[in-house]
Amino acid sequence: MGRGAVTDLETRLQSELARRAAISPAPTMPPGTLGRVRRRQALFAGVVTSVVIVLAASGIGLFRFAPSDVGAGSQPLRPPTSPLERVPIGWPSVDVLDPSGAYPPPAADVDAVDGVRVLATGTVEGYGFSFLAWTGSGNPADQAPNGPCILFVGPSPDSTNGGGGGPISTTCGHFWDPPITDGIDLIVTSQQNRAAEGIGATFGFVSARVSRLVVTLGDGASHPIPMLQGPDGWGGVRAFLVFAPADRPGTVSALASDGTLLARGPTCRFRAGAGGTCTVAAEQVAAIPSR
Amino acid sequence: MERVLTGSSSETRLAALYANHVGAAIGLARVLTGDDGQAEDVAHEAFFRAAGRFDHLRRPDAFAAYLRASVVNECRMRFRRARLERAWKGRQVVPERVDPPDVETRATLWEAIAVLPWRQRAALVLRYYEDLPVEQVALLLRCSRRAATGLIVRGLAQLRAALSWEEEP
Repeated sequence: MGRGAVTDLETRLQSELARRAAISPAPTMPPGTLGRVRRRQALFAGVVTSVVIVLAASGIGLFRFAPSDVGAGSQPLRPPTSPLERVPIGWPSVDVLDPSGAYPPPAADVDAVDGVRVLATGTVEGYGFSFLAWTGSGNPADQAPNGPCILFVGPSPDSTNGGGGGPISTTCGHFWDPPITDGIDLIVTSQQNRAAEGIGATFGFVSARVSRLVVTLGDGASHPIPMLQGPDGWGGVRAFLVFAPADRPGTVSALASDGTLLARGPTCRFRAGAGGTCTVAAEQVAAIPSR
Repeated sequence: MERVLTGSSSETRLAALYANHVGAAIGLARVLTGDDGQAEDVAHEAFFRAAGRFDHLRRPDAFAAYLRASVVNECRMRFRRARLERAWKGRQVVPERVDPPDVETRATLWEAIAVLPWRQRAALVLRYYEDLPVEQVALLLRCSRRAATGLIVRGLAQLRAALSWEEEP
């Protein structure tokens, strides 16, 4: 609305309003004004602080108690730091933690030629576990070469010591018959702790020619299993670990780069209330090329 | 002219704000409410509101605008309360019949302003007393620019109608 054409009425209105307003000289501030303003400021600051706290608490609440079927299962809403944490919806949630918290294996259980590597340590559904790898020495008596070894400990109800207190199993693939290094493509072991019922760990080795590893459950759905690089001296062999739903039997399949099925082995299904370690012979589907 | 007070205490700074702005706030409240006593109350309340929100600490130069907005809000609330009270009282007694004013007793300009609906009156005051652009008027009255223009145009038309006898040759 322009002010170009100011009518007589507008001019009169302006002067009438100015006359009526009759701004008096600046009044003196009444006593007590500072106190009243301070009280208002305190109230305002209190309200703002409360709102911020409520918003922050709501944010934290949303973060912590987000529905478990949003995103990756019931995992916390942070980007996965390890491929082990990328689990399908409905599978046990995995938290991979700092390797420094891993279970320290007794020296007697480890015959490492070059130290022990922590492949993963953390919790699965709150139960502690550690997955360790090293290059084990061969057998000088029969001139067996060094080879890949893994140790899995857990799941343990104690989530603070890397699975300590849970069952332990050690597997050395070069002592397997035939060995993983040149005689077989897949070794599958399963482990469950009676004290952590429903949480089954499946782990093992795949040979150097395996390009892809999947687990297929009874419903026919296949899910990739990450393969974890071991220490030097493994000759291309890799380890794997997966926490598939323990109440659903499945099959682990090792595939070549062209999709050819090389080998497959079932995961163990434990009875309710049972625990222990179970290794089922994997079926070698594709022939091992002769040297 | 702005009064400059030396000293750095909170009370001194507050007193300077008060001295520089409350007089104008009372003037605005006076033309918005048409009541001297109420205008002082409105201005003081608006000052407490504006000063209590630290706005003057963030943007000292904008305190006048914050105070103006507080005055308009405070007046709006009072008019709303008064309207509710009138409505309540209206339900309690049978209203007497009021004859329309005859030509000889028609309102002066100020009286015509006083009987305008609150929003029209506020729009005219902000436009012609505070000399604000329509956009600012719309902002303070929480309406669109078009609605603010409508309020001003209708307010002027009502004033013109009320004062038509004066303008006749």
